[in-house]
Formats: sequence, C-alpha cells, structure tokens
Amino acid sequence: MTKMLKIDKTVSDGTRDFLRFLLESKKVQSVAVLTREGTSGEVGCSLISNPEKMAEAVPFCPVMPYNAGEYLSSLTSKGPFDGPVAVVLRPCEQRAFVELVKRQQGSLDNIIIISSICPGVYPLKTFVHENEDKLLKDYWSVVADGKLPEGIRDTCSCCENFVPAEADIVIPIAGEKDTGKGCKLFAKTEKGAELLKEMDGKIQESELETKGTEAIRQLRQKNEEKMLANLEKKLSGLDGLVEMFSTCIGCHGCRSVCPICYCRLCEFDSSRSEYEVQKYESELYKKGGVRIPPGTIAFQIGRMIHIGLSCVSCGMCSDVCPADIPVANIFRKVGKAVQDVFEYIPGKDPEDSIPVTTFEEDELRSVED
Amino acid sequence: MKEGHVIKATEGTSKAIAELLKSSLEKKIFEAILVPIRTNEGYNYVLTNNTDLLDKAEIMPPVMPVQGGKVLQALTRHGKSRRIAAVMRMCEIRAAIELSKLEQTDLENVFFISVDCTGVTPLSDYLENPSSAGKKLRPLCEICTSFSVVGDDRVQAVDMQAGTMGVDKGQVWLIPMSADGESVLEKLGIDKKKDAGNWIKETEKLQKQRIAAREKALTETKKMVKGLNGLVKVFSRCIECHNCRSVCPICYCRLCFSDKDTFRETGAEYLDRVQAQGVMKCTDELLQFHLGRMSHMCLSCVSCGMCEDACPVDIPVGQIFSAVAEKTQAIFDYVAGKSSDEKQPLRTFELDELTEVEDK
Repeated sequence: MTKMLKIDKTVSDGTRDFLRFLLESKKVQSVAVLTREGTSGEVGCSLISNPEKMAEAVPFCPVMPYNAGEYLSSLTSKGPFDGPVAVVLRPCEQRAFVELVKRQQGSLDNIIIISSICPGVYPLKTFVHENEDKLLKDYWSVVADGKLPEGIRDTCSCCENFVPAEADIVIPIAGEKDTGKGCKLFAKTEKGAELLKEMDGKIQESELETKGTEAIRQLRQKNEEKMLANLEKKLSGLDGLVEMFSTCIGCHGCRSVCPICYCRLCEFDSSRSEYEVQKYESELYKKGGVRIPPGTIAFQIGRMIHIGLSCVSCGMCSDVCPADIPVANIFRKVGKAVQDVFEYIPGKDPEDSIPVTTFEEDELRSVED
Repeated sequence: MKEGHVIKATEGTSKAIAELLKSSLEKKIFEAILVPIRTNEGYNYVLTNNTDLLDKAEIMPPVMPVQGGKVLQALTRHGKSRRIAAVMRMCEIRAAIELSKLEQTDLENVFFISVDCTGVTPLSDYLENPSSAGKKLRPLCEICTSFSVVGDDRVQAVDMQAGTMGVDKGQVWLIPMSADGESVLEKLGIDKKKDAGNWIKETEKLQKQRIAAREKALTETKKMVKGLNGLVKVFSRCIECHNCRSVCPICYCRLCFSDKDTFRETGAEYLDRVQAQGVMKCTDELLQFHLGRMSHMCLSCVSCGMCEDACPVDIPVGQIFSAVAEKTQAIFDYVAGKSSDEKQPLRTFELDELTEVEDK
C-alpha cells in the first residue's frame, strides 16, 4: 500500500493544480514540464517558476518532441540545480536521464521526479500531419477506458517498462479507468509524501498497480513478441541489415535525438571515419565499385554497440528518421538481447553501474572457448 | 549558336548516358565514374569502373537521398581523385564548387556531366508511395531556376550537359560546355551535330516561368517568416534534431558552433534565469541555431532542398533559407556555385563595400 492523494479533476488538470501548488507553497523553485508555445501552440519543454504560467503546461500531452531526459541533462550537465525542481518525466525519459547521470552528463541533485504509468505517445509525424484535436480526444477517451490508444509509437505499444522505476510521485494513467474524472498522486518516496502535505484533499492508502495495469502489461508484452518476430524475419544476417538500411540517407538524426548518444563528437564524425582518396580507389580496384559515402551499416552497428546496453526504447530515433526506417524497433531487439545478458535494465536504479564500466572476473563464461 | 551532338535514347535518357559512360571507360577517357545506382530500395552514389554495374545506373534518380556535393567531399576532402566523370544535378555540382572554395573538395580531376533536371520527389512521399516519383516535387525544385546550363548565372563547372528539354523523343543532345567537354565528345567519336537552338529556347522559356513562380512562392515564404514573431511561429515546432544541418552540403564543420559547450550554463544559473523570467522555454534558443546557421552558410546556399526533405516536422526550412540566400547573395552580386573563380564574399575584403549600411 502506498500513500495516495486523489484530486477530482482530469489527470492533466489535477497535475497542473499539483504543480501550481508546489510552486505557490515554495516546495519547489521551479517545474520542468511540457508546455504549449504561445502563438503556434507547438509543444516543447519549459522550466516554470511563475505559478500563473502553469496554465500553459500540458504535462501528459501524448507527443515527445525530444526525450526530456536529454533536456534535463542539458540543464544540469555543467552544474546541478541549487534548489528543488520538480520534473515531469515519462518513464523512458526518467530512465534516459538516469543513464546520462551515470555518464556524468547530468545531476539528480535537488530533482524531484513526477512520473506516470504511461500510455505512450503518438509519433511526431502523426502529431504534425493529423488533426490534433481529434487525436487528443481519441487518445483520452481510449485511455479513460483503461485501454491502449491506437497509432502510438511502436516502442510505446511494445513498452513493458511503462511503470516508473524510481519516481517520487507517480500518477497512474495507462490501465486506469476514469482518468477523465480523477487524478491520483502516489507518493513513492518520503520526499514525495512531503510534497503532498498541505495539498487540498484526503490522503489515503492505496495500490498503485491494478488489474488494469497488468492487462496493459500483458498486451504490450504480446505486441512486443509480435514486433520482434516480424523484425527477425526481415533482419536476418548481413543481407537483411543491408536491405533494411538501404534507404538510410546518413543524416544521423537517430543519433542526434538519442538521449544516450551524448558524445559531442561522434566516432563516426571524427577524422577516423574519413578516408584518403587512395582508400576509395583501392576498394574500387578490388571490387569494381565503392559506395560513397561509405559506412552506413558500420555506423548503425557501431552506435548499437555504443548505446545498446543503455537504450531505453523511447522511440525518438524512429520518429525523426526521414527514411522511415524502424530504427527503434531494431535497437529494441538488440538492446533487449544485450541487456538480458547482463541482467541490466537501463535507468532502473542510479546505483546499478553500467556493465561495460565494471569488471567481474567470473562473467560471460558462455562466450569463452 | 551552340551545337549539340545527338545520340539515340530509345530506352530513355538514363540508359543512353549509361552506355556513353561505359564507352568512356572502355576508351579509358576516365578511370572511374561517379553515378547514382539503384541498391535495394534506395539510390546511392557509387564510384565504379565496372561496365556491368553501370547497367544499374540511374542517371536522374527520382529522389536525392544524399547531396552529390557531400559525396565528392567524402571522396576528395583529403586529396584529388584520379580522373573521373561525375554525373550530377546542377545543385549538387554547385555545392561541390562551394565546398572546393571551403577546401572541402578537390575537383581538379572531376569531369562534370549534368542532365536537364526535372526535379526530385520529397523522400517521404517517395518512400510512402514509389509511384509518386516525378508527380510531386520538392517545393524548391518547383521553383528552381538553375535546372540546366541556362541564363547568365549558369554553372561554369559543367563540362558536358545532356539536354532533354525541347529535344525530340528518343534523343539526347550532348552539349559540350568546356574545352575538355569538346575533347571528350571527340574521343567518344560522337560527331553528329545539330543546332541546339530549340533546346536553348525551351530551357530559357522554362527559366522565365520559374523565375516568376519563384518570386511568387518566395513572397509567400517571406510573409510567413516576417519579423521575430513570424520566425518564432514557424520554427517553434523544431525539435532540434539538426537534421537540416547534417544533410546540408555546405554545413561541413566537424563540430558546429551551436554544439559548443559555451552555450551551456549550470543548473543554478538556469534557475536564476527562470526566476527572473517566470518561464524559460526550450523554444527561446531555437532561433539562435537557425539564424546562426543561416548567417554561416546562406552565401553558399544552393537551394537544393535537402534540409527540408530531412526535417521530421515539416518546417519549410529550405524555402526560408533559399529566400534569405537569394537576398544576401544579391547584395554581394554572388551566385553560389556559379564559378570557382568567384571568391566567397566573406573571405574577401574590399575597402569600398556595403557603404549603405554604415552610419551616416
């Protein structure tokens, strides 16, 4: 059982009230949350300290313009917040941030995490092209019915880590009926319980996960099995990879938006990935033809090796791919495989060290001769 | 009056030119050919000396997945190639020329062949429905005035132009544009000459139409981004993936100015800022990136439209950049990629220049 405070409003309105209360009561100095841009209505992350500005917040708007874990990293990588800041993150954003913190790319100091049992987000393209009002209406009516919305990102419909791993406050949305009428704030930590004090409403003891949560989990697991089986058919061997990435234009947008890919200068943009003209010509005389620029598959496999263990399957990479390659599904497949080997769930616990940065003498015997 | 050398193209322009390229390899005029080739579902530039591979060449693929200027950069950034022929669209050649001025390509041994360009289909439309090829064009292709060697601003680096506009069906005209072009045609043994007047007439006619269409379209674009509010409105959808920069042939910096650590502050400093402002939006700094990139590269912008193609949120970034580029290039009487002899305005100093912006 967990301490819970229920507000008789929609999850979005209730959360806005709660965030406003946190600012007004000076429990936090600032709030990081999705907002709508004034003139265009576009959705992006903002830091808010003025409670009145909370009207612009859209904490659970089903779109992810960037992984907010990366946003938080950009705010704290040079130095931590010096006062309490509440951040509203989806579970995959929170996990990405933890992975970044492990890589010294951000600081959890003074951060209070507010997360949700997440129903998922629409692909950016859907959000840009389709009627937004209708999308939002459909989304919330399906969610309020305890079901999974259609047309969300592949990675979202296959996500099994949709219950936040480490958050101070958790707001159940996916699998929760009546999100249109009630907003439940679960205090998962002491810090979280402190925040709920003096907030209007009665605090009670309740279970965070319900049968509804379990039903969504099972549905998503099934979706994932199906997705991975389909992918396997297309991706077998080098030929499969070559075919899959044959439309890749080398923009490396997947890397730019990946919250884990934090290197300022990527190996694949470094001079080590540039070749002298002689190298091309020797390939030319060996094979009769050389593709320029080279290294499409090398880039993908290289990035996979670099970030596979920490991939949180947020789906940003697929969303920005101009060639519509299902990058996130491919990375999920590989990520899951390597994460299973090390029994590592990226971002679950800030104390878990990244497997490749630790040495254990008795490990991976199975791959030895 | 220019003369064209007529070759048969009963199986289409692409096949006809591929045959010509094969013959140029056999006659050892070039050591290799750089040409788009169909590979699986995509098109890629391939440097080849294999005549069989040239059977798969697609001289004018329906899409532009990678800008040819970038391809030549990858190949020759560290030194010149052997003698090769590169078959490219005009905007790709222009980008290659700009890159040579930025010391990113060495074109000494590159023989440029271009074909009258009918434009490319946006990548997303093509991938969704390959039969849309040629039906829908990149917005910048629709208003491109540099689709062939036409007008005063024609690209001087082209050695041979394959004319298809105003040309009888089943024929391609090869028009030598340089002494090298003349000699290659001679070596290829193509001597059937014909007056190219009709080709000139047709390309000039289309250019006139395009100039008008461009003015009209860009007037709309300029209206859309008028003032700071207009800019903010258009760019607030930007998710900062920087795909526009990655695929831009001119943006060659290994580490972009906007990725520098200088622009980052500490968490405490950000909190100070938000306390003062009440709210600090991600979009606040979006414009800095786009305006910065604009000021860095617009004098060399060739209006290829790669940026717009790669934008995952459909910002008309190519049209906006093209509208600005046209203005800035006009101020310096400079046409990006027109001539390798013209110095880039920002790299030259003239004492008597831009006096109109000085204090009176």
